Amino acid sequence: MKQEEIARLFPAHIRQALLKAHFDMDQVYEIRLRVNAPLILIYKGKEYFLTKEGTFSGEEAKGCFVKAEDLKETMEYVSGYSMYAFEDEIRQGFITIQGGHRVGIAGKTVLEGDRIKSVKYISYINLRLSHQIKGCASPILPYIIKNGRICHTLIISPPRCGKTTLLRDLIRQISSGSSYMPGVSVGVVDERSEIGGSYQGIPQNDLGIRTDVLDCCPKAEGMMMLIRSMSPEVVAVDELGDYEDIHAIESVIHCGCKLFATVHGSSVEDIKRKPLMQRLVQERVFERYIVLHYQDRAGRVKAIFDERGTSLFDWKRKQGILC
Amino acid sequence: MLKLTGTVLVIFSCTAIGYGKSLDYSRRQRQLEEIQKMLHFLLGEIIYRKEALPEAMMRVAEKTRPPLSEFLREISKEAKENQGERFSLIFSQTAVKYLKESSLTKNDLEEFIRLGEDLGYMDITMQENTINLYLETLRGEIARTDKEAPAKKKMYQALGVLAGIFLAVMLI
Repeated sequence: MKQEEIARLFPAHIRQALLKAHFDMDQVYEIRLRVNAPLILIYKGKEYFLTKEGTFSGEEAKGCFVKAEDLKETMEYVSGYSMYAFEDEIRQGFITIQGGHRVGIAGKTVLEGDRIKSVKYISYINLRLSHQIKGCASPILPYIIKNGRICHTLIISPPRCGKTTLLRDLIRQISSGSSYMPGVSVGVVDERSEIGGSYQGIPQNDLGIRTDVLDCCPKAEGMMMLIRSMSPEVVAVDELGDYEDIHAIESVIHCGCKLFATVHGSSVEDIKRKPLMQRLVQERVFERYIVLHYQDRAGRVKAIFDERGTSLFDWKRKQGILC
Repeated sequence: MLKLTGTVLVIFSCTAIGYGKSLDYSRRQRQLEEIQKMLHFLLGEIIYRKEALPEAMMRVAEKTRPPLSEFLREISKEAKENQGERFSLIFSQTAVKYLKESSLTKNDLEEFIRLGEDLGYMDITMQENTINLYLETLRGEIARTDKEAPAKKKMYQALGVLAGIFLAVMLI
């Protein structure tokens, strides 16, 4: 990841500070801009204020101060001077840019009936940098392959705990093959361009040699489209949530495909409280649940369960796997 | 003998200038039509493909002729790589660089630069309206030049010849 590529998304004074800074870009997770507040950088899991000189500081007063004009300018650069091309994404609250990085936005919403039409006065921007950690799924693979067969797997994780990173590497290893089993074809429905980080239809992250990606496509429609058109053995999707998604999952499973999915949550009990997910858990649709949590850093496996809820792995005993 | 050669040369040069102006007028017509074609493609890229301006312009560059294709490639490159300037500024600087020496008039160039001031602003409908408004003006200008072309071309050519003769008479 080039520092320059990221820096040029920001206005001149922030750009200068980012270019002066000496840090490992792969350890930068977030860059947060809030109107009339200092710029905040999440680096190696900790929060810092970035100074004009490009150094990290714990003092708020030393941080680069962000004005409304800076946010407006940033949005122009992020969208390639074409906000109109990102209307749908803005409605969802984020834009995915080249490299698979996600630019989250907040401000005043414009409603049309009871639907969000757009976001105006964008006053908060959160650039979440995409990280591909090759090999991070290796410790998980033996748990999701049973008798040479891939299990339907659900990754449960709170935000910023590495669920997409883990899913990405699972896809890559299942697609390209590993010491546990040969590669199989994988279909990815990348609704938010976060898994592949596709730019003009080409994934910027390595998703393996047998992977077909449907970029920016609603999950429910995408899953069915992929099954009809590309006949994948495994279908992978990120962040389940809607009724349509759950409905489409049933179709995927009945088609004989295996499913890899992620969902926000902190435990299996937690997702059972979500009415839509509850049924899937009760019907034992997923054969493996991988629960992530944040301990020292993102990507720690807290527990792995099978469909009956039997624990296959306990981080307290094994000190957690670092993904 | 020398006087006769000089006279012939003067008449020949002035006639050539007249014909040159007439050809320039034809070139301007073609360039206005080329801009019109370019904007139709751009409109398609924006409305149907929802492409951002840098990508849309790069694609349209493949379908247009120089100097417009060069202008589009440069603007797309500038917008992608050297971000930090307002789009309207990149547009106007690139337009001046590539189109100032073309057959377009000063007024044509000013109108074209004005288009760049509103591109990218707000939603798809705004892009459509901005481009359509410019296209309307452009269509009017193309119609006017087409109508005036035969008379204007003849006038430039005749003026060239007549100016040559006039200067020759003066010299003699």
